[in-house]
Amino acid sequence: MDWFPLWLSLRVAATSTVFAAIIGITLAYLLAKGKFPGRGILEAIATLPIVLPPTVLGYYLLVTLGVRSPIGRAWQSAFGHTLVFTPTAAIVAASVSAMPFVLRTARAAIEAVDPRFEQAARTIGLSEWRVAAQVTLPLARRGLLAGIALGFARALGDFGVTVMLAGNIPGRTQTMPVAVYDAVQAGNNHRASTMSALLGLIALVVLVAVNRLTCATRLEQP
Amino acid sequence: MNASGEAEVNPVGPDVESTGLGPLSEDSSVAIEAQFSVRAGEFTAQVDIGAKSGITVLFGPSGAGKSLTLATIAGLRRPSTGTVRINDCLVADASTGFHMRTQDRNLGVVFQDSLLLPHRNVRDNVALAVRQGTRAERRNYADELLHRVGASKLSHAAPARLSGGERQRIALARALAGKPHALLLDEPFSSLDYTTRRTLRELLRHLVDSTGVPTLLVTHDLDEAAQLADRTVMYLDGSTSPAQPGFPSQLTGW
Repeated sequence: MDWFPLWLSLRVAATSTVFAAIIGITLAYLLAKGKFPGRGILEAIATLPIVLPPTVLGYYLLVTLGVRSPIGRAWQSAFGHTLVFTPTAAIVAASVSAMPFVLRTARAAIEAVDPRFEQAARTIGLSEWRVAAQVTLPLARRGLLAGIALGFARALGDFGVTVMLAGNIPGRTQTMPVAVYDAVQAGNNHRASTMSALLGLIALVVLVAVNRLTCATRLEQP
Repeated sequence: MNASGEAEVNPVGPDVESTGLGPLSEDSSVAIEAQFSVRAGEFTAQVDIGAKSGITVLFGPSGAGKSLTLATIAGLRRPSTGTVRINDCLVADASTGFHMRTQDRNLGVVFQDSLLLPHRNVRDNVALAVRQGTRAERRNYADELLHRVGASKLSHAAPARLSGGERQRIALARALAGKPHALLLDEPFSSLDYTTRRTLRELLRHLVDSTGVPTLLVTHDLDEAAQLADRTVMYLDGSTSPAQPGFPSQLTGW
C-alpha cells in the first residue's frame, strides 16, 4: 500500500491550516469589529468558497494563478516552475477552501466576547492592537481553536479544488481524497476503503474536539 | 490633535514621583469639567458637573443617566452636545466632533463588575494598566498597589477564584495603576454583601485621601452616598443639580 497520499495530505492540511488561520482570523476580526465601506461585499467574497461548486472555485483559481496569468508568470520567473499542478498548488487550494470555515467560526467567537472587557481594557490605556491581542482574541480562544480545527478537517478533505488546481499526479500532487477517487476508478476497492476509513476517522476525531471546545465556551460565559 | 493630546493630558503634575504613590494632585483645581447632554435611545441626560479633589457622589434613581455620564467622560460614548475637559484640556467637543480616545484620557474606571481579564493572574491584570516603566518596574508597582488595597496575598491568583469583594479591590488597584487624572466609579460595590461593602467604602476613602485623586462615584445607595460624599450632585428628571457640599441631610433623614 502506498502511503504517500496520506503523508502529502497531512502536510498540505497542516500548512494550509496555518494560512487559513492567519487570513481567516484577521478577516474575522475586521468583519466583527470594523466599520468600513465594502464590508458586506468582503464578507460575501470570503464566504464564497463554502457555497461555490469546488470545480468552479478551482477553475477561477486556475485562471488566476495559471501560466498565462500575471501571478502565474511572476511565480514562474521567480521560482523557475509553474505554480499550478505542484504540491504548493494543493496548499493554495486547501487554504482557500478551509479559510471560510475558520472565518465564520472565529467571527462568531469574537462577537461573543463581552464588549465590556474591551472597554475596561481601553480605560487602562491599552491600544486597539493590544485590546485585540491581549483581550479579545484570548477571550475568544476556544472558538478560534474550534475554527482552526474545522479548517484543518476541511483542508484535509478537499477534493474538487485540489484536483482542478494541483491535478492528480501520483507521488506528487495526489492527496488522500484524490487517491480515493483514483482507487475507485481503478477498481481497487481495498485501497479505497482503507483510505476512506482513515479520512473518516480523522474527521470524526476533529469534530468531537470541536464540539468539546464549543460546549465549554458556552459554559464559561458568566 | 489626537496625537498631541496624549502628551498634553498624560502628565499628572510635577508633584508626583515616578515610583511613589504620593498625592496625584494637591491643588483643588477642577479635574473634570463636564457640560454636555448625552442620548441613549429616547432618554437624554443633561449634565453639568465638575470634579475636584475628594469624592463627588452622583446620586439618583436607576436610569437617571449617572452611568451614561461616566461613560461619556471616559470616552466610551460621545456627547450629543457640549464638552468634556480633563485638567483644562478639551477631550470631547460635540460641536466640532472632537473625541479623544479613551486610552489617551488616562482615567481610572471601576465598573459594577470587576471585568478583570480571566486569563491573566491578579498581578498581571494590574501591571497591564501601569503606563510607564520596564516589565519588572510595572510588576513591582502592581505589587505595591496590591499591598495598598490589602490584596498582596492574591498576586498570583486567577480572578475567577476570588470573591466579589476581592475582585473589586483588584479593580481599584488596576484603576489607580495608570496614575489617573481622576477615578470614575460606577456602582463599584453594589453587587457586594453589606459587610464587604462597608470595608471597601473605608478602603476607598483611604485611597482617595492618600492619593488625592479626584473621584466621581455613581451610586443609588443612600448609606454609601451619605458616608462617602464630599459633595453631591443629584440626578433629577434627566438633569443634574448644582453640586452641594457633603450629602443633603434631608435625604439621610429618610
